[in-house]
Amino acid sequence: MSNEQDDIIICRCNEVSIKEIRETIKNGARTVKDVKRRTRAGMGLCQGRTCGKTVARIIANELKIPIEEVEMDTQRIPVRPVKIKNFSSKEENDE
Amino acid sequence: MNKKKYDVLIVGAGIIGSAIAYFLSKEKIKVGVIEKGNIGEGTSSACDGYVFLQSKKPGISLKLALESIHILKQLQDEFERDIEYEQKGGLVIINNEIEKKVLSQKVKEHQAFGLEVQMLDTEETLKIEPFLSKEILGSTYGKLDGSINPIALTLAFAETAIKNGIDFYPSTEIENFIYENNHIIGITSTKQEQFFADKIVLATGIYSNKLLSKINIQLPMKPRRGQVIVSEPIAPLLNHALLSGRYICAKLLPEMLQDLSDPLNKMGISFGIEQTKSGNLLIGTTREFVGESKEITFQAIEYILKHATSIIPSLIDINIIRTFSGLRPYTIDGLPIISKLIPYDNLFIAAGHEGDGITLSAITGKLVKQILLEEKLNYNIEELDYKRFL
Repeated sequence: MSNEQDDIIICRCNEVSIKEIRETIKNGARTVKDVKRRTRAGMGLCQGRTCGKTVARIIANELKIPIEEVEMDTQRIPVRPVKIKNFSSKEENDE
Repeated sequence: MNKKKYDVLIVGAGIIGSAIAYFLSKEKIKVGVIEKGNIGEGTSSACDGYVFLQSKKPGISLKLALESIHILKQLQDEFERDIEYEQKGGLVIINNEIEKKVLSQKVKEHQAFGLEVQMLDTEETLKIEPFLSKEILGSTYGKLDGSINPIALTLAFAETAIKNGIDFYPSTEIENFIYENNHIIGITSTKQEQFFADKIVLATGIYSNKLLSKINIQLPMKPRRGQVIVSEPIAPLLNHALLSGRYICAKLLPEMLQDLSDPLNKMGISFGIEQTKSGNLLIGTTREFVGESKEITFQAIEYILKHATSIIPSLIDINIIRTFSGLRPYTIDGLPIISKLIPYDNLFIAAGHEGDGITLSAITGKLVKQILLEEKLNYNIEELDYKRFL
C-alpha cells in the first residue's frame, strides 16, 4: 500500500488512521472491539456508528476472512449523546 | 495432536494473567498463556480506572495496594504504551452524618496505619474541587489515590510479556485437565491442542468456578455486575478521582446499606466519578448479583446520574455517550485468592479481586511469580490462601 493511503483517517472522532488499525491487527487484534481497545477507534462521540463497519472491512481484508465473521462492537444505550439533565430532571417530576 | 510444553502455563489474559505473564517473562523459564478470547476483553476492559488506597481495609489489602502502586509508577516509565497513571489524589465525598461518622473513624484507622489521609470540611473540599455541591458535608482526602487506564495497563503487561518472549494463544479455551497419578500435568483445549506444564496458574476471574467444576473444586466466589456511564470528552472539570461515602460504606460496612426497600441499596449504587486522560468522565456504579448478565438497566443509569448530579450539579449539561457493564469476581470475604489449589501441588490460582484487580494487579503478578519460583515472599499472604475456605 502507498504511504499516501496510510494517513487516511478511519475513526474521525479520535483521529485513528488506517495504518494504526492495520498495525494493531498485525499485533493480534481480531475483532472491532479489539481494535477499539487498542487504538480508541470507535470510542468517540459517534461510538463507532460511523467507523465500525469500515474497521470491520479492514479486519476482514487483513485477516482474509468474510466480513460476516468479524465480531462487531456491543451496542449500548444511549443511541446518540444525551444530556445528563434528561435523567436528573425526571427526579423533580417524581417527587 | 498438537503438543506444547512449558515450565509455567497461565490460563487467562485479563489484568491478572497479563501481570503474571509480565513478571514471569523476565525470568529464564518457558511460559505460555492461553486465553479463551483475546487480551483483556472481559472484566479488565469493563471497569473503572481507580487506583485507590482509601477504599482498602487496613491490613493485607492496604499493604499490597501500597506496594502495587509503587510498582505501577515504575512500570509507567518502562512500558511503551501509555498506561495513563495519574496519582492526582482522591476524595471520598461525605453526604450525610452517618457517612461522616464511618469515614472519620476510617481516616483515624488509616492514619494509624501510616497512610496519608485527612478529613476536609465543606469549604476545604470546595476549594480544591470547586464544582462539587455546597450541600456536601466535606470529604476525606488521600494523597496517593489516583487513576489509570485499565485497558492500556492490561495491554501493556501482555504486550511487554509477548515482546519478552512468552507464547500467547488467543481463542484457546480449556476443555479438560490432563491427569497422571492424581497430578495435573496439562490441559487439552477445545481445539484439541495439548499444553503440558510443570505448573499451571489460573487467572480466570469470574470464570474460575466453571473451570474448577471439572476437578470438583468450587470457590466461594461469584460475578458481581457493575454498570458504568461514559460522558463525552470535556475540558478538565475534576482535579481528583472522586468516590462517594456510600461506596466506602458499602465496601467496608455492608450492613449499613441493608435496607433493600431503598432502590439505591438494592442495586448497590454508589457514586464514583473520574475524568480520564482523554477527558471523558466515567460515572459509576452498581454492585449487583445477577449471574453472568452484562445487561444495562435504565433504572440503574437513572439512579447513578441522579446521585451524581446531587454531588456535582453542573453535570446536567454534559452529554453521556456510552454505558457499559462488567462482572467483578466477588469473594465472600472481600479478599482475592492467591495460592496453591490443594490437593493439587502444581495448580495455582490468582483470582477474586472484585473491584481491586487493577490496583492490585502489579503486586499480584509479582507475588505469583515469587510463589511459582519458590522465592521468599515479602508478605505473609496466608489470609489470601484458598485453604481459608476449607
